Amino acid sequence: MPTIIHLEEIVPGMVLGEPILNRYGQTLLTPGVVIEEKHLLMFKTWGIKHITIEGSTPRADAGEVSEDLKNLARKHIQKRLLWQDLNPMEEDLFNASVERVIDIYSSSDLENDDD
Amino acid sequence: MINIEKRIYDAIEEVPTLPTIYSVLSDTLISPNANAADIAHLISTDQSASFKVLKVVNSPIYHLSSRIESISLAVLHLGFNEIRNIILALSVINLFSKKKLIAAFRPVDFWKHSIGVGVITRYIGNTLQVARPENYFLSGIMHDIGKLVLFENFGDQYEKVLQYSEERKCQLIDAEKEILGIDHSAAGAILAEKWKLPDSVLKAMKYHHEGSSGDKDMLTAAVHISDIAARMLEFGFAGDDYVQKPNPEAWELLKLPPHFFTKSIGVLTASFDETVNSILNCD
Repeated sequence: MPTIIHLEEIVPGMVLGEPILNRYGQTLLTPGVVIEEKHLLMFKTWGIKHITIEGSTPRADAGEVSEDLKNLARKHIQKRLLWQDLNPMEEDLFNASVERVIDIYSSSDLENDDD
Repeated sequence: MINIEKRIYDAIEEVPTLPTIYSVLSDTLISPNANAADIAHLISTDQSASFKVLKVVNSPIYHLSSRIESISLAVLHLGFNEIRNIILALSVINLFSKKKLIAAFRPVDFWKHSIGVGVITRYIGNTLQVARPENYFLSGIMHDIGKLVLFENFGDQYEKVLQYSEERKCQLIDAEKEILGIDHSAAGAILAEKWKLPDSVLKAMKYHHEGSSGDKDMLTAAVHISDIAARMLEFGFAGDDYVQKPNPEAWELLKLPPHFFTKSIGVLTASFDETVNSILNCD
């Protein structure tokens, strides 16, 4: 599933999902190109703010979620639970919820960036 | 208590009847001569319903190997009952979405939560390869409908319920019992009875909070766990912020595979987003 990401999130090694065009509609980079360090500078020069990459949730995949963000998500969920001592299934559900809340935080960050 | 239940029972007489397409479909399904083409033709006469049904069946929870582009194919793949139940779910949402609710209780958030529960319940049904999966999505969609019934009938007093739950930091169900003397599971069950919904769906609606109807019923357990999961996964808003402890019996009965939620979070989120968009047409 292709994902649109912000310039600051681009990490070398990501694969371009859609072509990058210049203002005249000419193709600068084609889908399938593996992003290298040199491309980052090119994007800045061209004034490109977003690109589409192959794959999904780059933040989670890249393992770059900070411990702070994780703790924030954990606390957010914990304070809503009316019980403690989670069994293994509940622990698993809790972990899935942490992932989900981080995703929600991240996507609202992105919206703010665009403002 | 009994008086209030009687009042709700009588009041529901005034709840609008289900759209004719549902009753016509039900009649057609009972008819021994019904075939896939008849059913497909009936549904296709309602353009907007068939469009939405196709969106729903193509969401990842239904695990279909290829994209389904027609109602007759959908009926072939998922069976008459599943398609009829999806239409019923869509009709109920449509029926109640037009009602005005107060700011603290927005229909869109309410339905998002219910769709979330429907998606997770259906996915559990798939994963466990249950015998009658067609009632799973519908039961999830319907589980909280009693809240709307109570809101319709008690209006002002229901605002007190919302206030009470916020002040006492408790779930709506406890606030309803305290303030109204009846809760939404009981009210939902009354509606289910009036609408002659299948018994297993009625039970799941009635016992979704307890998590067990006392007779090892998988559907009730699935809705119970999915309700808790939808709250934790922030799929919509159920009207209060709190998440109750799951009934251990429900976990025991379902025996979900290890790491079920962390493994399926991607599919569940994608299905939830798609289903919400196609059913509620909201952005």
